[in-house]
Formats: sequence, structure tokens, C-alpha cells
Amino acid sequence: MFGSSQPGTSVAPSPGDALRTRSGPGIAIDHVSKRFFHKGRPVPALKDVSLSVPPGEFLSLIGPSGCGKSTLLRLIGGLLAPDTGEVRIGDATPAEARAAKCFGLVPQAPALLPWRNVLDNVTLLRDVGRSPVRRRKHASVGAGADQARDPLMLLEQVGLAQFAQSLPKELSGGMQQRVSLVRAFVLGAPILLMDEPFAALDEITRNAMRYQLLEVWGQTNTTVVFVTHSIAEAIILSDRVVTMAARPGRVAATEQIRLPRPRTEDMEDSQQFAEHAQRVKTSLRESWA
Amino acid sequence: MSNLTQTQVDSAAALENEAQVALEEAIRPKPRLMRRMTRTVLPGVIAFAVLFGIWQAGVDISHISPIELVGPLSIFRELWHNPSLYWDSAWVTGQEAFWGFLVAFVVAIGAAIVIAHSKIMERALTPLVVMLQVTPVIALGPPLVIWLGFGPQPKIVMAALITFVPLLTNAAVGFRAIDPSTLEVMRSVNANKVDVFLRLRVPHSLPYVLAATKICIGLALIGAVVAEFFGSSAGLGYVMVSGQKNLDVYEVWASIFVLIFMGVIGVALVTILGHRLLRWSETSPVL
Repeated sequence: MFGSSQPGTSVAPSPGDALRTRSGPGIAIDHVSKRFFHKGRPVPALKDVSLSVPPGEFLSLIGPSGCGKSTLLRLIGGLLAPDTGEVRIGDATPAEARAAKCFGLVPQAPALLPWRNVLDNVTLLRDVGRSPVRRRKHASVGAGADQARDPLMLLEQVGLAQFAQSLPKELSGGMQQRVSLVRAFVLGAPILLMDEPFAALDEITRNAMRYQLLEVWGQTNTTVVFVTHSIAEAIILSDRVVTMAARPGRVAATEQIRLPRPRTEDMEDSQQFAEHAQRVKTSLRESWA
Repeated sequence: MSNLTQTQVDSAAALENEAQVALEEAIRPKPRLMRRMTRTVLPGVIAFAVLFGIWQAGVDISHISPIELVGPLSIFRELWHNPSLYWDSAWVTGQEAFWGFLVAFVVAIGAAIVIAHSKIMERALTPLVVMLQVTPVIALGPPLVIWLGFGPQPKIVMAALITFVPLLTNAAVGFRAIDPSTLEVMRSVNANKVDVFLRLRVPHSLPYVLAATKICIGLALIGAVVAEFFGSSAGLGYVMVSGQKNLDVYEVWASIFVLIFMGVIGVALVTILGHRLLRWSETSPVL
């Protein structure tokens, strides 16, 4: 069933091992529709959305409010189920992938546990959702399949090493959001789902965080689905920007970003960036009409 | 180009500044214990002294009959001359209140867990809870004595009945008061209900449960004493009833003082516990 399991492992592979191979799983969204009920009447949130995200791609979803970006993110993460159509994570269903801890979710709010210090917060997700027996079995399979990363090193990288023992209330909003990012990366999940993680931050902090995210992400081969309202953010971060239209939510246009990596701040002033921005802007305007 | 560099410098400086402020916040030295005590405890002590001073002076100046009102000094004298009576009575009443509270606490937490996890059970139990809430529980004193006799049982039941609803509602609200984003993050790694309960709901409910516990210390003492009024052979309520019958106002007032003192000690203990457990809270726990 999970064809990509690594050769040479004597233990029967669980979905997690197959999904955590070096290349990581891709995401396939196949004719997915989803509607919600508002006051008893169905409201289509997504209609016939098809999208494929290859392993290691940084993909941004951009679009007006109510275009179903967040819904799509939750369908990928198995937090919602589609009405029709199918989402596959590699060979597995989102639910199986979720059980194998394939997703690192970064919501808009930092969503830290206020009674745990920074270090305990970033290691929280490693400890939940798995019985001790399964955890031990997983450990015996070998760390090779697991990309879990040293929390202290990651905190150091985002400039929070000296706050490892601090409580969330002692940190600013931007610092809390960096903790939330680190928490997702510490998990070593092959797919990161980010739902406007920088939306609540001021512009200066926000700009710095984009490049910090790129730096940390650059050391992994993680697939990222990034929901945002900002055209500049989508372009500077992504390999591909998908514009969505609302009522019903659907894919309106796709823009392949050809800026070289690593991305730098002066690329934001380049001709190429401006052309990308112009095209994304046009597609957003058309999606409004 | 120089513009860009400036932006970079600005953002780096902003991050550094932000880090510096948070660091200073974290390592600022705590005021020394004595200074802290004078700041936190002294105002309350002075307020008490002023109240008792006015009371005593009023009694002394007006030559009011002791039957109508006694001064705090004579109340303290009564306590001083009969320590074993008040100590033993306080022990009896305190135990009744404590066990009543404990029974209510265990049952309320259990019911709150059920209510927090099941809409149907919430709908089934809410009318019963509301019924208990609007019942003047004190009025159940006579039937409780008829059913359970003159021992500690009716007092424990009364203390439990009177503390149950505040504990239940606060615990249920606390269990539900979790942040939806955090819950979603937990669900994204397949956290089960036990994980969510132990790692999210229980810590989130602590401020609520501790606030309810503070309220319930006074309530549990009320329940125990009132049940003693209806029929008992020991306890502060018994001492008060016998003092009333013998027109011994000193006994009545001394019992009231002991009850107040017990309540204050209980609230102080819970407050200390709260400060220990809720260091993380954004809002400092109030009295």
C-alpha cells in the first residue's frame, strides 16, 4: 500500500515511515468540493478544486476573504473532510498522514500553551498523539526516516535561544509567532501548513520573519502550503502562487515564481518581482469580477 | 540600494530592541520579601486595626448593653479563656465543611468532564443543575436532619449541596475555555481526547476552579453551620445556638469570629496555591 517504504528496514513500515522518506510525500487534490451550512442553507466554500503540490514545493494560496483558502488548508491537513473529490498525501489519506504526524500547522495566532515555557511549547507536539508503545516502536525503526530537529538549535536560529525557559507572556507577539514556527519545524513533519502566520504582525517584524522562515525552511526539504493576503509575501516566499476566487471558492490562476533561491530583500525591487506582482494582481482583480 | 540596507538595519534593530525589552522584563529582580510583605499584607492589617478600633471605641463610649453589642476585646477575651471549646468546635465544623466541599468537588469535576464533552449530556444535566441552583439549599436542613440524624452526615451533605453548583459551572466553563487555534494545532498531530483534556482543558480550567474554590470555602462553612443549627451536639453552630438560648452573647460572637478566621485561613491557602499554579497567567490571579 505504501510503495515508497525504504529498503533495508526489517520492521514492517507504518504509514509514517513511508511518508517520511527523504523526498517526502506530495499533495494531490482531486476535484474537491466542500460546502458549509449557514442558518440551514448550504454555502459552497470550495467548488471542484484540483491542485497538485510536488514534494519540497513552497506553494502560496492567495485570494480575497471567503475564497476557501483556509478551508483548503484544513482539507489537506485532514481537519475537514471534503464533500466530494479526494485529497491524497503521497499514498495515504489526510487522516492517515495526520496520524503519522506528517503535518506541522502554523495558525494565525501563536496558539502557545501559556503555562509551558518556550522550550516545552516547541516540543509539545512531539509528545502528543502517539501512544508510548508506538513512539518506542517508531524510535527503533531508526532516526533516518525522521527529520525531527533539535529544538534548541532552531530557537537559536530564530534568535530566541536565551528565551528557552521564558513563559509565552514574557515574549512579544512577533517572538511568540517565531516560537509557533519553531514548534512546527521541530516536529520534523514533511508538510507544513501555514494559515496567515504573519497576518497579525507589524510590517517590520513581518518582513524580517519572511526571511527567517525562508532560512529555516531552506535547510529542510519540507513541502509548504502557505495562506496569505499579501502579494509581496506570496511572491518572495513561494515557488508557485495560486490565486483563488470566491463564491464559490475555486482556483483562478497559477503563477510560477522564477526568482532564484536563496531569496534576498533586494529581489523585492527587481523587474522580475514587479512583473510577477503585476500578474498576480491582475488575476486577483479578475477573480473579483 | 541604501534604502534597502536601511530597511534591513531597521528591522534588525526592531527585533533586537524587542528582545532586549522582553529580557529585561524576564530578569527584573523581585522586591525583597520584607518589602513585599509590607506592601501586600500591611494595608490589610491596618484596615482591620482601624475597624476594630472604631468598633471598640464605639462600644466603650456609648455604654451599650453587652446583650446588644459586645466589643472585639471582650470577644478575644472569651476566646482566650475557653480555647478548647472553640478549638474543638472549629475542628468539628471545619471537618464537616471540608468533607462536604471535597464530595462536591469530586462529583462536580466528574459532571463537568461529562458536560464539556457531550452536548446531549449538557442538555440533560442543565435543568437539574438549574433546579439545584435555585433551590434555597438551607431550606433542606429539616428534611436532611430527619433523614440523616444528628451526626455529621447532614452537615456534610448540606455543605456539598451548597458548593456543588459553583464548582460545576466554573469547571465546565474552564474545560470549554480552550483556544480554538491551539485545539486545532493539537488535532493536526492527531491528539486524542485524553491528550486534549490533560494538556489543554485541565490547565485552562485551573483559574476558574480556583476562583470557585475560594467562593466555596465560605459557602461550605455556611452549609455546615446552618445544618448544625437544625440539630447537633457539637460544632460552632451548636455553640451559637446554645449561646443564644442562654443569652451568652460572648459565645455567639466568639463563634462568629472563629468562623471568619477559618474562612480567612482557607482563602489564604487557596490564594497561595493559586499564585503557585498560575504564574503563567496573563492576568494576575485576584483575591
